[in-house]
Amino acid sequence: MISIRRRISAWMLPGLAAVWLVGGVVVYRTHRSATFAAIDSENMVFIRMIRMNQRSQSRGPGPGRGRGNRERAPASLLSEEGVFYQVWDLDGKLLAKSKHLAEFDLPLPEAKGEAIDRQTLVLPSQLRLRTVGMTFGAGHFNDADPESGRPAHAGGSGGGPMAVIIVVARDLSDADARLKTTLFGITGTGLVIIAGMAFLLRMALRNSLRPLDDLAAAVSNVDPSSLDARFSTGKEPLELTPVVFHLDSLMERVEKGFLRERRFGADLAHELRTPIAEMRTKLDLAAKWPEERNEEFFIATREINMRMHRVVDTMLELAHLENSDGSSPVESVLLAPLVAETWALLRERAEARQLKTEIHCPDDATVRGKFELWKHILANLFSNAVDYTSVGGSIHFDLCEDGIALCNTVDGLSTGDVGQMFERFWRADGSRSDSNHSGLGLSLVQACAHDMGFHATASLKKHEDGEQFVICVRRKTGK
Amino acid sequence: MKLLIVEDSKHLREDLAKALRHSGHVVDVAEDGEEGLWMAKESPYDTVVLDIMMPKMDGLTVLSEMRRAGIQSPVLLLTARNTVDDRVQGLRKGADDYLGKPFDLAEFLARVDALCRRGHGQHSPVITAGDLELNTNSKEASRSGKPLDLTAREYALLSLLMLEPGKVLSRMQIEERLYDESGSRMSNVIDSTVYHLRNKLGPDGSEIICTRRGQGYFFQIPAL
Repeated sequence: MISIRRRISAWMLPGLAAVWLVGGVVVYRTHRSATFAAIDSENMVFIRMIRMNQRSQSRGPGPGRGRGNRERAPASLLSEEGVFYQVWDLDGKLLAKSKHLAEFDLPLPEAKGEAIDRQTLVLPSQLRLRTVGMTFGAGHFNDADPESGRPAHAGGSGGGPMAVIIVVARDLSDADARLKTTLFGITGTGLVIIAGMAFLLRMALRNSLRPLDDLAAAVSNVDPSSLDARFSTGKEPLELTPVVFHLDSLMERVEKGFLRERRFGADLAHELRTPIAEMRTKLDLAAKWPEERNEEFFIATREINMRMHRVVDTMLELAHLENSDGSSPVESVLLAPLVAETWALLRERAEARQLKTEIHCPDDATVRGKFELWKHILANLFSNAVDYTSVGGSIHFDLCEDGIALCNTVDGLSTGDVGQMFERFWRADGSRSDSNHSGLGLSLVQACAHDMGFHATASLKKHEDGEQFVICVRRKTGK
Repeated sequence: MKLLIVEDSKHLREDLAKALRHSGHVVDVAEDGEEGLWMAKESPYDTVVLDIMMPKMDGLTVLSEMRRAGIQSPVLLLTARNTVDDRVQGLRKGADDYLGKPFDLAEFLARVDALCRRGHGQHSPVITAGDLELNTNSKEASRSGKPLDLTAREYALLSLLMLEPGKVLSRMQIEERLYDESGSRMSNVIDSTVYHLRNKLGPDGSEIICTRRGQGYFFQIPAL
């Protein structure tokens, strides 16, 4: 499993180590170069002193030699411990040499001519030396620049010091020790910093990812009894805000779906169990008290039976339509006679409720689909309209673009009710005990419409007589 | 016992009321939650039978409102919603029993009787006071082992008084408990019933069903 903590740590710590390594190498090498440069510089000073000694020896003591006396290097310096020198003439004849070198000879400069030669070498005794070699021409002295390393030119008037090759070497033990200390320092500091960074990174990740852990804990606590839980606290980090927002949206949808399922279960239980309970109670009553076996008992029993029959038939019809692929042939259905036939069955009920009715359906009006399904649709829509229109209200039927529309005035219906109308077994509160309807009518209308490539929609709108409920069955766009 | 049935199904409401009346109870009915709550607040009932899914106000809300109003009548929830969650929710809201639809009528009647008894602190179906016995299951009364031939009204009055011995009940209170909302009440019907009941109890009938002048009647346990 991918872990954000591990992924960040896996990038950060090796990355930091690499940066530290490169930095350390640069620092070490710079320091080493500076150390060697300082040693080379000291060696050059030493070479100059040797050259001064050589010059003073070639001139000898006398009046006017004050400058020479002043520039002569003290012998103690030339015998300084850890510093070695060797002097040759240009023919390679050894002129002078440090006693400490014993039998070992310093290497002649590899660089030809007057260039300064720098080398690092190891004595047989494992002593590491840094050498600087330089060739001096005859008669010149001061023009050897130790800083630039440019030697004096040979030749010139006689009487000057002879041309020589001087090599000075210096023991690197101290410098190596200092460099080693520097290396250990860089390495140690790097390790401490990386360890510190690892700790800080861990703490930072723990603190930064805590809201994620909290969110995970909150999500894991959600169960069917706490679907109203929401995760937004207003304090979550910016990065988590979209996640929390989408989780809350998801929870809202889940809660709505769960409530819909629960409502459906309760409605289904009510619609199916109540008539069974009615029938059973009626039979138990008649069995225990024979005087209850009267005409009313038989009429009521038949009525309950018929209601159960209607519910079962509608559910089977719905199941059939759901499994239909809609491929059965459609025809052009003449609407006028179908509407007239349907309305004829309901006219009496409508008149009893003093409903005003307007039906606009031209004789030649047709609609594509299946005759039986349109019959179901019209029967359910008109039946609902007659039963649920407020007393003395109005019903208006008309054709609309690619379908039909039925409007009726209603009382006590909310927009929320309209949104749930096509759910199975849904009934407005006031009609729960109505035994003429089971709450499946509009589900059946929708299923019939879908099977023919139509779609039923419901809405509420303001009307001069009050609220008006509008239901349209239209051909689906693009089909 | 006086009972209230709050049920939106007309058939069920009427049939349950008939069965309870056959069993000697006095029954009022309401067809939605609002009406049921109003009736429960208006009159004392020995048991309320309450459906959950009803128009206007659901049964659980009615139950909560009843308990909030201090009505302690035992409540039997009667509903098609029969899951464990529904039962637990109903009982936690203050119901005393729960019966899922469909149900056996005999079981329903037995549960209602049990709730009525428990409402009066009586756990046994047989109420005994001295040599007088009242069987709430068979709706029969006997004295010294000899059955008493009581009408439904006389049985109801005797059981009402026996459940609260020593407590004076006014004529108005007795009427409320013995007659439903639709029943016709004659002015002397209680006095007449008391008269007949005393006679059937024996020569000491007036010492068992006692009169407190200006206040009403009360039950006194007969000596053995």
